[in-house]
Amino acid sequence: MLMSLAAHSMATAATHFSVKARDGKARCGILSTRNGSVETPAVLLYTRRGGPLNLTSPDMLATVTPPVQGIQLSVMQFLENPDARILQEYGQGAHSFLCLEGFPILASNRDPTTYEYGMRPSTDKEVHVSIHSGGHMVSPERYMATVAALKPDLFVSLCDEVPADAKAKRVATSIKRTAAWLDACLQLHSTYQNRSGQVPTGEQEQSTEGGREVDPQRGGDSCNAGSAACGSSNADGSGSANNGSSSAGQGPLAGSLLLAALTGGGLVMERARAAAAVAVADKEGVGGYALCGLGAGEAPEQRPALIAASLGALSPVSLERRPVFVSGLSASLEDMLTAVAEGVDLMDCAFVAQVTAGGYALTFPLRPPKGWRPPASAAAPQQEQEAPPSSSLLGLAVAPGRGPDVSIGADDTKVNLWSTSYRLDKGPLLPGCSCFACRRHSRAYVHHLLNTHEMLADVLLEAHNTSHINAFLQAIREAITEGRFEEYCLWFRSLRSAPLVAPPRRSAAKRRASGEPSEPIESEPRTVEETISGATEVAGQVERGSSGAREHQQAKWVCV
Amino acid sequence: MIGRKFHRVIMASGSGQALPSSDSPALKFKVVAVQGRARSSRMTLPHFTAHTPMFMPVGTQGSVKGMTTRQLEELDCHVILGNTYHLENRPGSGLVAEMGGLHDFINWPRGMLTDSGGFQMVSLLHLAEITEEGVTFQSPVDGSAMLLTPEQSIAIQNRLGADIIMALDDVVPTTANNPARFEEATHRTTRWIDRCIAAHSRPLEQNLFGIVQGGLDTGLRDLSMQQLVARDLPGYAIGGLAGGESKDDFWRVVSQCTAGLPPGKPRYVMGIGYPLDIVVCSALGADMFDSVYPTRTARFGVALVPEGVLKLKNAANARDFRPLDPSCSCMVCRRYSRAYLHNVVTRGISAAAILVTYHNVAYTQRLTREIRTAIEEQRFPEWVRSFLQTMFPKGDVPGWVQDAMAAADISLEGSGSGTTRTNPPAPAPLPTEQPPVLAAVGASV
Repeated sequence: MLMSLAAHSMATAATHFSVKARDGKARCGILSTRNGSVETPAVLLYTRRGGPLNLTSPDMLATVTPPVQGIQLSVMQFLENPDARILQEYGQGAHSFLCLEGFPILASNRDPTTYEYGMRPSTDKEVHVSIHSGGHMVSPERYMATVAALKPDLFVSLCDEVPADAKAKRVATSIKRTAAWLDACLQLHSTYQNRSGQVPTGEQEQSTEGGREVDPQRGGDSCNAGSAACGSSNADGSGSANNGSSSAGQGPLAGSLLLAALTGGGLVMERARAAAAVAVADKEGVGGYALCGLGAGEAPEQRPALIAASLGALSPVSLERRPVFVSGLSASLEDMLTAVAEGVDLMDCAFVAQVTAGGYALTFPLRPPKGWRPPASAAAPQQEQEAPPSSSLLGLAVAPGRGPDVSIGADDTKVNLWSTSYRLDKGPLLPGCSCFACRRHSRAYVHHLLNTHEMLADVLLEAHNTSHINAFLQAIREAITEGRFEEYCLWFRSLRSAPLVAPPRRSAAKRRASGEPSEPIESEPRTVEETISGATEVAGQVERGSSGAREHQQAKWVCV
Repeated sequence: MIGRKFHRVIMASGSGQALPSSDSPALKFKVVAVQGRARSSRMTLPHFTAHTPMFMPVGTQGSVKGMTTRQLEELDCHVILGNTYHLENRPGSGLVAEMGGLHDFINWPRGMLTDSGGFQMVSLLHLAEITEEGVTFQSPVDGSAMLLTPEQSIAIQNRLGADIIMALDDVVPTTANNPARFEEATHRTTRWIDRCIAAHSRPLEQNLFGIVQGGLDTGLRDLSMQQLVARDLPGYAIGGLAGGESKDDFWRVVSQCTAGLPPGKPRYVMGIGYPLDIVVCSALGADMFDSVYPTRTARFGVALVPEGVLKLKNAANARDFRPLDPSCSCMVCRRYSRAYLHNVVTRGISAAAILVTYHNVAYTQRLTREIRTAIEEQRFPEWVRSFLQTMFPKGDVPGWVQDAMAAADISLEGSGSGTTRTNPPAPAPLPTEQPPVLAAVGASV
């Protein structure tokens, strides 16, 4: 009975999700919202205090190609300046306030580029977050009031976030709290779906029933011709009109999808237990799932197991119509592949912000060359690649068969525009790329802008990097749809060198006994001059290999 | 005495006589409408035909603080500036030349102007000294002694390739209390213009403008103008202002210079960016302005609006859902509220700073567009009155503006001004039948 009600409201909700294709655990889907659709898996544009870091909306955002499909913002950044009351006074939600009309918005509990939790202890009633204005204690009521004022298309329930090394007892507490807060958020979600206007906050004296209508004049002043949300604070009316309440489905969160936070820290068993609790109850109103507590200090190789523990505890039926969002798992491209391989549909994106801030342009190829096959031995990282013959493939940053030029700070995925080697380079950031920056400007210009600390450098790099990441996800979706996602992952990983971890050190005595060099290979960066002479030397040393055959490991230093 | 060609300026309406114009090797200037001393003109440069009066945003180091060249085009900027000193420092004029010139390097298809580099050196560097040879200074890289000569300044600008290049002038801050120094600078500027002309290797592709100096001394100013005009340059700048001088002194120098320079050639008042100053100088017959002010003040959270400025960080804006300027139709004013920008401007989020910059650039372009249209439609005095009324709703138009408008033959009757004065009254304006060139206060004929 509960199940069918849930399914029914799912079908009539303004935001809904369906899977179109599968390949293993990976899946392609369509997330439909009032503000547009998202083809999943997808990466959401990172925003800070509601806006992209460098790209102005709507003009520069519109230049991104493939286009930005959705936006991620952090609820916690709207606790103050502005807060829920100001947003509610505005009345038209985040899409209009932030000039993000036409984009689905996911309001998450975390900013993927910072870690807001753990500065001070949380309680059973409130979680502590550190934001731009300092520390705040956030209860489900305060959280949901802010969410309601934002009117996003999807939002994550309040979660007691813990780092990956939290002890079992702390993890158990976080599971208990998060479950209780999920119930509170579900109740509040229901309330906000069915009431028009007033958002109750702790400080308000007015009675919460009935509520005051939002004064259309106040919000109306900023109502502009181009705004899709303009004209009516109840434009989002389609929601759950089936439950007979007089102002049914007209509330600020009508049609918004609640994503239940799945927690459990870095402990596989706990993650399974936490997820099972949500699934077993199969609570009405849970519209999707949010994997929390990742990108919180766990080792990369643990991630597949942690994600699988959470999602594996959910029934296939539960997952069928519910999108899965993961936060904080976007520090590397492999992270994103891992997430997709485990069944994640939506991700936030710290990666673009971080590479852009470092002065990098992403240059990795997006599709395997025609006829590429995984090598017989899957553990051979030194696969020689053919030059991609098709002109539709983006070119490699360097000639095939040679590694990236580490002496200028490049690696397999990106080039470093700070390098003086680009001073006179009239070519685009990435040959063949059709983004705004590559169509209109040269590497030499971007290099100059970085050198002179001009904002435009970041604007152009963000335009390019956002485009490239979107193209990456598009290629991933193609691979899933065509049933070759596993091969795609193998190919992508084969392009990469081993991670930037020094090989495990054997004791000096053991090293001497096996005839290895007495010093392990250094991994600290050097000056450019040392690098140019030393890089080939180091690479050569390692390739010759130390006896004792660590042939799969190639420790080399690069700037990241 | 002045020895210049005398063009009689005629009102655009009614008379069949030609409006002033000039034809230089790389620049054609054509006044298309006149009203009083103000004029609306077309300046055809190698890369673009600009409409004046115009405001030129400054792209100091090869970009206008965060804005793309496409945005600048969309906002209808006609000419932008590059700073020679900064660009020679990084990336170097040689590199820019290898890249095909500044236009190609930054991908800006319209007009470009570079300054001489002298002013920046004097204002930015320790121990910068001006001698007959040039400007000596300490290299910012390693502190070694360096010298910028007129020849080198022109050579650098030739490599950068802008449509308009500026002569190296001996600029003395107007606050200096040293008449002998002003006299020396006036004569030296003339000697240097000859060196600049001799060094200029691309006269068919780049226009060398001279810069009128002379401080606040009307005699020196006249002398400087006379000597520059005798060189028959494609255009003239009025320099040595936008320092610490009083507004009263400022407008009088501008007025004298616009009156004394040939009407058929463009007049460029350097370092002007406050909207009020742009309006006053346009009324007095100036054509071109540049300043970092609109773009710089944006990054400090200050938006230009018809009433003056809007300080976004002010707490009153936290709940103000109106756009920055309800009368502005730029992307930012159509889509964003003060309340949103209040929280994010000056917080290290570049996109927010760029949004305010975008509006401020749009504002200055709209301002000069309105000035041109008002002159062409012969309703410029009315437009000025309306502008001043909006900016000074209590009627407290500053005395210097009233005096300047009087000299520009623009009555402020009915704009509510004249009820309060901050300066002693100026001499009564001369009758309008006289050629405007003689109406300039202090001009010696």
